[in-house]
Amino acid sequence: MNHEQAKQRWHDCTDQGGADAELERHLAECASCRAYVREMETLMLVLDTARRETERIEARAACRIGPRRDRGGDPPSVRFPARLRAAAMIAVVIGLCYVALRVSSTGTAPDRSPQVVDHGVPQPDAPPPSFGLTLRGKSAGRTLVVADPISTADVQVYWLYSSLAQPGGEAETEPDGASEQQGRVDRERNHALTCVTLHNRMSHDRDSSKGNST
Amino acid sequence: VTESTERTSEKPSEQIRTAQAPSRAFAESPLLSDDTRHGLVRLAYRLVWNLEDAEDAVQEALHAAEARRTQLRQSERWWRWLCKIVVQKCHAQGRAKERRRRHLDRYLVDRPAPSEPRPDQSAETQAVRSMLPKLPPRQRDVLVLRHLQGLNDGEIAEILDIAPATVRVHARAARESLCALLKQRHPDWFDPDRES
Repeated sequence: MNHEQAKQRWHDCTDQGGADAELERHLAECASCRAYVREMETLMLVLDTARRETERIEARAACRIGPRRDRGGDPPSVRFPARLRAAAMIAVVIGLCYVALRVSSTGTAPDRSPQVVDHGVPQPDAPPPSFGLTLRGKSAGRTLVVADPISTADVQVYWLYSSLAQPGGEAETEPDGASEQQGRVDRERNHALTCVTLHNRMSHDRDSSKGNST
Repeated sequence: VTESTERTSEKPSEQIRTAQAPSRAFAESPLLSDDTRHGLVRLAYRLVWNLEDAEDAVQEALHAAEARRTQLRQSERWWRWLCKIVVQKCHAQGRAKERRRRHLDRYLVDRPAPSEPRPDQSAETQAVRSMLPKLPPRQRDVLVLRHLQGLNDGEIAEILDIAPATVRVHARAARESLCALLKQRHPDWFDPDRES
């Protein structure tokens, strides 16, 4: 048995267990192989120390299957179906085309902002209007008048009614005489009185008494 | 149970294998038993030497095992299958760390401080911890599985997907390489006149 064979025998005995008498005889005669085996046995002791000390390692509670709460993580991504995404894209394109056509036909984008008209003249038999909105589109020619609010700590009540708009908004401001009487009739006929109640000044609006106050 | 515990006190993997029936272990998913988790974290720690990284690797491995458990046809091999996934996750984690390190070196960003050794570890353990990364990956895996996990050649061969004879070749090479490294760092440990 040469040195290399002796070293290989020692490794085989270490891996698979057992003793080798021929190896023992060689080690008794060979100093270099004895030194080699001594170094390997020292290494085994070092590794055994490392094994015993790492035996104390234990998993903490965070190591489980499932999302780790202590480290957070990205929220799950939401992926819409392809058809829904295509439909949304088509809707956006159609909307852009419509706006482009309107701009090209009128030269400017349509102004849909409401126009506020200040009447400012109190009415004798109705809550005095404080301001009104002139409607456009299908309701063109009518004015939405908002009366002074009745406000308490918890509730605000607004009286809204519409009327046929007069040139210059003077229908609401006729002061006296037969024209005043005719104006009242027109108002009673055309007004659709609406009560809007705001609870705690939040957007909790409710139509409560439509047309029963005139 | 007592006999099983006594018999397997030297090899924690054996204890886990005998205490947990494979079907039961997976039936209790997604929360595997504490013994299983401790054993897997221990294996991962011996490969990466950082508890947080080891737990991350085990958690990823358990996720992967949970997702692919139908692929495990021989249920008696479930523990080795889990170990194999953990080893792979540890390798992936090591590669990711190496990429980050190269990036930090290239752009001269302040590097994070290396993880400190545990204060309760002896000089021998700290030496092994610092020398193992210098070994080739395959030799390191074989050495950890053989001498720190206490697995035999067949189990190591199955986990690493190599032949048992190759395991023995890597084991010898790893022992000789680690011995040479330790002799350079701690020559007094290998002094023949030293009293152990």
